[in-house]
Amino acid sequence: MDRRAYLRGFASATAIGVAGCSDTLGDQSYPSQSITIIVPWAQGGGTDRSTRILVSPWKEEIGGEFVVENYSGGSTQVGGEQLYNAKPDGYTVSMWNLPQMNATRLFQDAPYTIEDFDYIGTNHFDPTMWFAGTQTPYENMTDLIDAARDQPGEITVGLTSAVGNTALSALLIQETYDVEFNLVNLEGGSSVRQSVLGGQVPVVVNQPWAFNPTNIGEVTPLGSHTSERQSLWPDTPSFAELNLGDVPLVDEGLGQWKLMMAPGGLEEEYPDRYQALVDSYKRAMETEEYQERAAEQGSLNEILRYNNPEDTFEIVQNVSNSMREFEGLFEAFRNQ
Amino acid sequence: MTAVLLLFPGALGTGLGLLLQPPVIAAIFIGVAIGIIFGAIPGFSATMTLILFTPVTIPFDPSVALVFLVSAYGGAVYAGSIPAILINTPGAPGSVVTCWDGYELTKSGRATYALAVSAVVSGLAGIIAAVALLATGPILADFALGFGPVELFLLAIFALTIIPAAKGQSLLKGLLGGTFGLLVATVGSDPQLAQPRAIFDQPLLRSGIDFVVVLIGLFVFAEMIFLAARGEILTTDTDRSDDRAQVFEGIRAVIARPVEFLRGTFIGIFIGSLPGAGADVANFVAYNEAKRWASNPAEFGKGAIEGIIAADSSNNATQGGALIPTLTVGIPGSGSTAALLSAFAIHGLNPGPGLFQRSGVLVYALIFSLFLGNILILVYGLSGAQYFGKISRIPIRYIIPTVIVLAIVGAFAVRNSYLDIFIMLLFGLVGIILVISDYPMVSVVIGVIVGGFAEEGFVQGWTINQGDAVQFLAASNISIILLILIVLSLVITAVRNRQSE
Repeated sequence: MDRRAYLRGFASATAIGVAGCSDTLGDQSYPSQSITIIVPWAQGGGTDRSTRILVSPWKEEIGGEFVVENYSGGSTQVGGEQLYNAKPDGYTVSMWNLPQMNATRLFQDAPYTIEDFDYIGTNHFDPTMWFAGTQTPYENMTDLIDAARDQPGEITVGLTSAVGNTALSALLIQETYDVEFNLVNLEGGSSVRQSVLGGQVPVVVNQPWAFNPTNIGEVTPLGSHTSERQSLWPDTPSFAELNLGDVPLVDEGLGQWKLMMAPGGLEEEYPDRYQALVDSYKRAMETEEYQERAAEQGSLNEILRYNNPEDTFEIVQNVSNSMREFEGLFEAFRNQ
Repeated sequence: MTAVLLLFPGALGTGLGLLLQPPVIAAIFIGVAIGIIFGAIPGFSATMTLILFTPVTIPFDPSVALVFLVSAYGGAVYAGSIPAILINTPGAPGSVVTCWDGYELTKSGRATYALAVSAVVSGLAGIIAAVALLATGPILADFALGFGPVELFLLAIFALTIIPAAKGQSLLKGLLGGTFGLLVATVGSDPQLAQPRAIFDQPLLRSGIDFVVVLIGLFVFAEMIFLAARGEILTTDTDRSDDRAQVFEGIRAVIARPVEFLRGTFIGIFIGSLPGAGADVANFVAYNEAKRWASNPAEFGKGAIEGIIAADSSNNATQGGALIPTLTVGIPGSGSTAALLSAFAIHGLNPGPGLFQRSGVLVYALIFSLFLGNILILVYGLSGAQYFGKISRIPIRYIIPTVIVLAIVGAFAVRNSYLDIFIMLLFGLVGIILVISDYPMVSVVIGVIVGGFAEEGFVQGWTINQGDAVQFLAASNISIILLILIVLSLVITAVRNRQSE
């Protein structure tokens, strides 16, 4: 066999392999090929885990295959642009987060707006919560604010991202009580977890589920940025209970939504496919299998919250409005 | 064994029972084999193998699925060394330094000998790392938690300084190459405020340039061009000794060097357990230490078997090490274990404190599967060595096109992106220029590998310590030790360079 013949053989073998993977059965029965779920975070994180446990029940409900693809980076903008540029044909969806989606638009010049997507439904709401290492003297949020008043700029507070809900919570506390923290973006739940357990950072802000409460080891929860107590940490007071109701967004609850979305235009171009996604997603979330799998992942089932497409869009709009309202705070933080 | 059982009663026994079920045993056999096949493809790392096969495991029982993935992970780390030895192209970042001595042996017809050594040390190091995971997991996990941003930054700098020392090349060129690698790693969003840098309107570049793509370009693509220029793999086919004899010689070579082997293994376990650093960093550090303590440092890079022992014991030991923080505190110790966390979620395992109480049986079965998996690496590796070795005798007109196609597929597969293919080709050209100008390519690669966590560690550590340089550098005892190591490493290399001039 000479080199050319060998190359030809190798190339055609590769081509057959590739063709074998894609299946082109035509359009009459949706889904006729696998549906890609874009996760705009790396493997193993909270968004990734809540998506992957959904795949099996959703597969049953829609009668098709799913492929999870991770595109991490740029505080979800890399994955977001993948979704934005995908064809609205019902074969690409994404499990995205609020307020990251709005923040990338406002502060990173992302090309999309909230109108550029179709919404399938929400998945869960994880509020913002403050935690301290057990070696620190703080027992609740009030202690921390008092301490910050005495030593301006001295207490380091670790955040999960530069422009998300954890940063906003810290900025709002600073603004309301005229205190100053030493804010550091630790980029991601995993390093936030490591820094507070390892004692490198005394205080961190995170979402309690992402923080994996049943599983975290020794930390002191200081309070949640909500009016009600958070169901996963029933012993921890909310900001309202601690008389911190002056802080904006306590009544509404500041936290992170995860939601299932599709590229805009799907509802208009393929209403049947859109409806199939919406209905099967809702049913999948209700299945016993999903509830059980969610329970295994640090009681995710406790905070699952489904909303239909209309209500989902309303939530997106509300979050977008409050992010815009506090845009100045973020700008000041980023320019300091 | 009985001592271990006394230490961990209860779940241990049932874990062993679970492991001995036929489907689980089959999962180990198939997992290790698949890991070896994919890991041996130039440019397919263990991480990519895990990501590729995670969805395949969904229909299976968690014990079968997770044992399969952990076995494939071990097989893939081991197999990265096969192409490193045979055609000078590392199958994965953890096998970069295996090339240095492995390929020299191949060129002189002793590929089977090198492969046998690689299989023996990989398997044995994996078993020792599994013992470490079982016996010292919680202690090491506490220590790993102490590795905060500052310590990771200093570890990255240490890794950069050792490269020219290890390869015996100019300190200045080594540091320049490393700095270029660091610069490449700054492409993408900055770690504090997520502002884009040098992304040229390419959304994908917001997440930076993946170091696996750089590795494929520099080591795989560029090496194929040089191979084409050289003509044949074997330069002096002097060793005509029988392949079987080379296998036994390989086994004897390892038995005669227990200190070298154990040193590499412990470096691997330790670096593997640190969050962020895995086999990719461990093999450099182990090689450097091996050379520092060797009686024959001049032989390194010219086919010293101690070089392969250091590289391959350390990279396989990182698996057990990396599982320590992953299982005990839920913080992945490497890219591969981050991919494993994702698979754990699918199969209902929630790592972190309390995991051993909640899912003890499955976790012990997983740890025990490491023992069997690594014995299989030994068996597959030794029995395959004489056949793999023949690859070096295949004419290059078959090897080069095959490897280049695989390199392109591998670059694409990292992030399913065409852009990465062009980045890979660009770094292929860079690699050719670097070799011609006598710059150590490996400095560039280690710069790109550690650049991400070096920058993040620096910026976070600097902010946490409020911009106080003394407080920053003296953040902990670990950081002071690392500082001393960095200074020593630079001084020793500079003095050695002067002497050799």
